Amino acid sequence: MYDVDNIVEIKNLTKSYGRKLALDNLNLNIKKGKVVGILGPNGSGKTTLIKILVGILRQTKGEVLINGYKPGVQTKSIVSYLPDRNFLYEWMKVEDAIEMYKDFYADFDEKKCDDLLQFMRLERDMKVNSLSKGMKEKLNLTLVLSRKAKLYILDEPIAGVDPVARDQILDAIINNYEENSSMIITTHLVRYMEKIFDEVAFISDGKIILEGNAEKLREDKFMQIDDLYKEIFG
Amino acid sequence: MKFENNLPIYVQIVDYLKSQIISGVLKEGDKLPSVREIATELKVNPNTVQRSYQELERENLVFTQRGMGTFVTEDKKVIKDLKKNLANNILNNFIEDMKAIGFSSNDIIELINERVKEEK
Amino acid sequence: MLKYMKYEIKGTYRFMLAIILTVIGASTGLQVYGNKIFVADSYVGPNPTGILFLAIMGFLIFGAFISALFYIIGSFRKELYEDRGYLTFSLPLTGKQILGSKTLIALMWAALLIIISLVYNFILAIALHGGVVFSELFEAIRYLFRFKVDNVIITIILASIFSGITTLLLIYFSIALSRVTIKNKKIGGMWFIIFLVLNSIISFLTLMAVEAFPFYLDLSNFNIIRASELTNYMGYNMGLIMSTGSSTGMIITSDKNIVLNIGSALFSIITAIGIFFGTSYLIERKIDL
Repeated sequence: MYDVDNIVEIKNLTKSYGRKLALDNLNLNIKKGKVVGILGPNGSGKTTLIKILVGILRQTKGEVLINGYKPGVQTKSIVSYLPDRNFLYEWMKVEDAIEMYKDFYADFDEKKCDDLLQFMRLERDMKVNSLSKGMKEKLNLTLVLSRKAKLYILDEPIAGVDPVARDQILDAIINNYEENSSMIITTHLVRYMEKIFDEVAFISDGKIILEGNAEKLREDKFMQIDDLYKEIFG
Repeated sequence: MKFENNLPIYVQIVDYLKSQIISGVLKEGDKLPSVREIATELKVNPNTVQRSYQELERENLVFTQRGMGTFVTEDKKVIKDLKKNLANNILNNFIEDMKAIGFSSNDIIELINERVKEEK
Repeated sequence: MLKYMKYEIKGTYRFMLAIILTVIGASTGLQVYGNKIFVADSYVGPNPTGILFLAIMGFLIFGAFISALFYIIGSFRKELYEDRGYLTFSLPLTGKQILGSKTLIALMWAALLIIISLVYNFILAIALHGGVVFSELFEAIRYLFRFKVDNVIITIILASIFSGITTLLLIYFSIALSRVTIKNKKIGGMWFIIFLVLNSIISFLTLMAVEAFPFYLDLSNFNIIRASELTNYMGYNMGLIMSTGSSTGMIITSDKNIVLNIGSALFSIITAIGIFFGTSYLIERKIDL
């Protein structure tokens, strides 16, 4: 049964590519109002899981519910998704991307967007194509965080950016995350991100091998999540 | 502040704020930074900071005025007790460690007396 | 859906404008030079450079149309194979809305390209041969419109548009199907083979539909005629038979009556709708990015 306290419910989720299992009977529930870290090395199934949640990849077996609905048009309007790649159209200027978000998402907050643009030192007339990797990541995050979405899903938000940009991105996430919304963040850079998680789930070979409240885990294991991560995957 | 490796984040924030109160950086009746401010400064989930504030409130070290913010207690006794508590903790650890390396209670007192004289 | 069409136009207009300008430029070159060497009373044959020039202009026009076609196909293909799909398919839009927008904008560009090329060349021809006399231009436009009112022309235009839409949708369907069935992104040309196969199957089924339902509709008076009576009905007027792809089964008599095979017409319409819904389903429910 669907529990109204859960923003995400994942039951027996399996995704196979031919004989290879990307997700293997994975189960996970995410409570409303939490920031959840999905932690695992590359190839552990993080991105596959995220793509199924946002409705751009189909599971082989199992069920996913977001706010009680299967991924589709309904859920896409309440989920703000940051892919692990540059997803904006090549011809766009920053301005065009903002306009598109404004047009398609009723929860887009232009004031918030302007603040974030300023914080990230981005200008509306910059061309998306001529931005550096770090700047692109900041622009993508600006758009995603400017929505007042029920659920944010950020796939590797700080991978491959320099330390300054990384801190800016972390600040932006902390400052702009809405109290009543939920957030799922995947990362393998646990050290930099662990302090913003309420809950963490370790994923390995398409399965959740450990999950729980981040503080509780620190207390129980007498170590930081990053050390736990190294112990599990190192 | 720097985070230690073996304690929950909220405990470390509680300890950090306590040390600020004891050392007088935060005085009686002072307003604490907002949860968001601390969260941003320490790059920590706001929920975690909230939990630290709750913990401090439970220990009567701070109080929250609705719509105004969180303030350091004006009750000097509470702060004094906190100081005393902390001193006791330090002493307990110290004595325990000293006994572990074979010092008796008298040895410890003698050692401390010598050290205090030297510092003067 | 209108919102999405806006971004389709914004993303494609630069290229399409360049195509239209190329066609206009090459047409001008072709006509101006052609006019120089083919003036009726003092014929000067083209020299080798002239021939080369004409060939290049002709090639430019042909190339522009082909590029436009591939650009339109490519803009759909990119959604399924490139990173931009992550944006497109995470928008709160149904597959029908995305496909509908893409198809309508493609048709808009095709129509614009064809109409501008035709009208421009027509006007240029008149201007070059008769001098720029506005009354003549006006007359020419009037002629153009009278020409259009003709039933046969309208029918042929409508049939071509319909067949164009069906072909475009079938191309989209083939691309989507090859994306869903063949996970290897490197085999990119597979859709073309799928397209050829499906196109043959549909043409064959259309012919079968003509035989399976041998009744014809006269569009001028809505009489229904049996196939066996068709020759009799048309008498000596039996003329041109249209068989362009999906509009097989349309017969145009020389006195400009249009007779339509009911079976194949219905089949074509249902096929087009089916392909549309099929493609929408594939891109909304089956694509794995």
